[in-house]
Amino acid sequence: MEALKILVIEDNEADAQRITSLLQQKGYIVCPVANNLAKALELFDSCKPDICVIDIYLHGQHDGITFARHMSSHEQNKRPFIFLTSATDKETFDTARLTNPFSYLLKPFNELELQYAIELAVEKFAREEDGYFAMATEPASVLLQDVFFVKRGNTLVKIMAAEIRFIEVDGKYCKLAYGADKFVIQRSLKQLQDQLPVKTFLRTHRNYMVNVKEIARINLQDHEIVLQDGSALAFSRRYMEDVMQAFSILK
Amino acid sequence: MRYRPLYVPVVLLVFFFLSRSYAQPAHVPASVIQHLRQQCSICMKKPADSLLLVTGTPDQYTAHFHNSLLALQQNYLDEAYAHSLQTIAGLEGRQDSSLYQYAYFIKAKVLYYKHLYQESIAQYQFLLKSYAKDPVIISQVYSNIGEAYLEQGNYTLALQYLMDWQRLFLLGADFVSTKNYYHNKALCLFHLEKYPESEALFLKNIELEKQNKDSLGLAISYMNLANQYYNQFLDSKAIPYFKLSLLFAKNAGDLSVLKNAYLNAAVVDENRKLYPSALAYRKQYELLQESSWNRDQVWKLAAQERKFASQLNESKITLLQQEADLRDAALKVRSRERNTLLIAAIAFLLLAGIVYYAYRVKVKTSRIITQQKEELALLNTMKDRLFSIVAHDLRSPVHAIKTNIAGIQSALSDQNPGEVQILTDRVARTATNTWSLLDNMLHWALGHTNQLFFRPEKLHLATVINQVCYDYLPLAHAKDIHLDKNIPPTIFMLADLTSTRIILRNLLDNAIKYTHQQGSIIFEAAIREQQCCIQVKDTGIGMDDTILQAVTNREWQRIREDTQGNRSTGFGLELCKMMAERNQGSLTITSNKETGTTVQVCFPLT
Repeated sequence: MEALKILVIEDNEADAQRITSLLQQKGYIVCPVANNLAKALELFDSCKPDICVIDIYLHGQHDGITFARHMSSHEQNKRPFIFLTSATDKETFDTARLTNPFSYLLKPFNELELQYAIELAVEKFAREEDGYFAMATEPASVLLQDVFFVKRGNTLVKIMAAEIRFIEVDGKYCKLAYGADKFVIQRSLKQLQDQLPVKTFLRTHRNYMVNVKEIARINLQDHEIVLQDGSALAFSRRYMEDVMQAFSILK
Repeated sequence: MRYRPLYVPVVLLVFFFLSRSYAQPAHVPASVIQHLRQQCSICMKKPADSLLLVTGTPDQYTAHFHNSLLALQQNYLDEAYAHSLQTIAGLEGRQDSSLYQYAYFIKAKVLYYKHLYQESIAQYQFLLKSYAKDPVIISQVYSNIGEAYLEQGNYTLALQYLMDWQRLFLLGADFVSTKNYYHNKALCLFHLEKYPESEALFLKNIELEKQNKDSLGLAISYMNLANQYYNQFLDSKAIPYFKLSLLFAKNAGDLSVLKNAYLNAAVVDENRKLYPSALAYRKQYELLQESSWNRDQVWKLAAQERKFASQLNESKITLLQQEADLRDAALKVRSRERNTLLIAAIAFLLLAGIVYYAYRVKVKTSRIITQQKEELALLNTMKDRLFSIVAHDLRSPVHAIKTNIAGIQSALSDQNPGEVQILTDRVARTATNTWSLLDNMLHWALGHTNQLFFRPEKLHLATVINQVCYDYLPLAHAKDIHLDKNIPPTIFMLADLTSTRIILRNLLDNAIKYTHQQGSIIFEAAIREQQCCIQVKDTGIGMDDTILQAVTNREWQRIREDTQGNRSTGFGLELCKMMAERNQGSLTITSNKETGTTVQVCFPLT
């Protein structure tokens, strides 16, 4: 589990300082602050942030928008980003809107607003419902490619899919088992099965998908799978063939 | 011999006269015409139908013959010639027809009258050799050949034919033919200088003329005889004949003959050195010459008249042409008029359209102007309000901050930490208030000029309220006000985030301002009638109806002070109302002096 890496692009030193410290307090990893377009592009490549906080105006230019546009133009470079601005006038927003920002943050802002903006950007980026993190009563997560963004306390953290021990159906949705914690994800098991890498997770039961690395033993008599930590999960014969095939391939 | 040089003109004159005398009878003798008409089937039957017969009768040559005859009678030589040729052509292959010789005769006769003597003679001789059967025609042919030769000056041959005629036809010939024969023969002999014989014949001719009492004939005959004598230098014999010739010529009425008689008399008298009488005759001659010229003029006039008639015809045709042209022109003019009218009508319609359009534009423009005027008035009011706020509500707190900071500085130099603390708190408070006032002002102005960015989106209400409250927690804490939130976490609504924040911030701000120490403020939310309704309840000083009315009616003069004595601008509530309405929501205030104020804002759910 690692914290989200955030790139702050802001030419106002005081604001940059404040954002950085707020984010760091929350436990996020913050890249060095970029105060111009060139530096922003450079840091985007070297720091590889998970999310960007972009001031629309950099030294009086719409360089923030330029950066956002640049970032969105390549599929592999697409990241959630937040526009940060003190301007409330229509023109600025109309220009900014063309880049389809995932959320806005108006100055002055408090830490809750910053937190919400980040959550909103991630939700939108993952095409999750707006306010999903805010509304969730227990730790929630979203899946971006093979990374889960999980809300722990008031902070979003990343969990690589490979680190999830198993996935368990919980009502309409699923829960991810990471260490001793469990995180809700608003996806059905079927959806997750389609999205996750085939070789990492095996469907073992109507209600379970298990990380291949976690499987210690398969107890056929009792119809259960014993994990590395000794805990056992129900195993369905229906998926026997898939499981055996996966192991034979692994060998 | 003394006269010799003077004779030449006389002889020449005689020649002239003689040739004239025979060129003139362009009239076929009436007897011949009569004879020919007896041969014409049409003349014998129905002369009036001749024209009818021209068209579509199988015997067209008879019609042509008739026409040639009529033309000859009326001296239309060209026409007669053409018809005679057509008659001959019509009779091709039927040369034995009796009509053939007559047609040929007419043809030759016309040639003779046209002075084409050689041609005429050839035709006559051909006729004599082959087809001539009618004795009348043969007689005419012989005498005509003679005359033709005489005209040509071939006197020997002329004499030969005249002699032939004499041999064949003199017995039983009519008077005119006989008289002509004698005259012509005498002329031949005269020219052949056989004077004794010609003299005898001239005398015989004169005798015949005398019998006939023909003055013209006598005049000519006497003149010829006189000329012969004069040519023979027999002046004494010639002169009385010249006189007689003149005498008869005067009676005959033929001007050319009379003219020649005068001239001859003049020449003769001149040669006799009788100059006065010669002069008198010459004058008479010249007079006649002039009159003949005049007569020529008359002829010319007649020709001109004909020409004029044809011109008249032409001009009539031209006139008709012109009339047609005029009609065309009139039609053109009418069509042009119609076109012009059409164009005018179109132009008028266009003009009307333009005028109407211009009117519409003007109405529209004036409407726009009125609208703009209203907008301008509104903007002006707004500007005035902004200025008044800047002048009072903004200026004094900023000044207070300035004074307080000066106080802090002096307290610092005095090393009075307690004073510094108090002043710093005051500055912080004032700055916060001033900032929110400024923020409100900005949004109010932007909202009024439609420059505010506005984008309704799905909002998680609890989060938004948390965010807003977060900023006011210290303030509430300072007044020991209990801030409670009772928001169901499942409520989402559709609203613009910025304006929602502004509304909630202002409501909370007001609630804190107008609530006493240790009071409480509670946020509640519920879904009612497809709307998300948020209530901000306080246990504050409340408002009576008068103030409530003033706030609702935007009577800004009735603003009042909060619990700490700060003046309110009324801006906050107005802004909240405006923003709520822009979010398609509503804002209602219920308040009383005992229980405090409750403000309810409702937003659409979706």
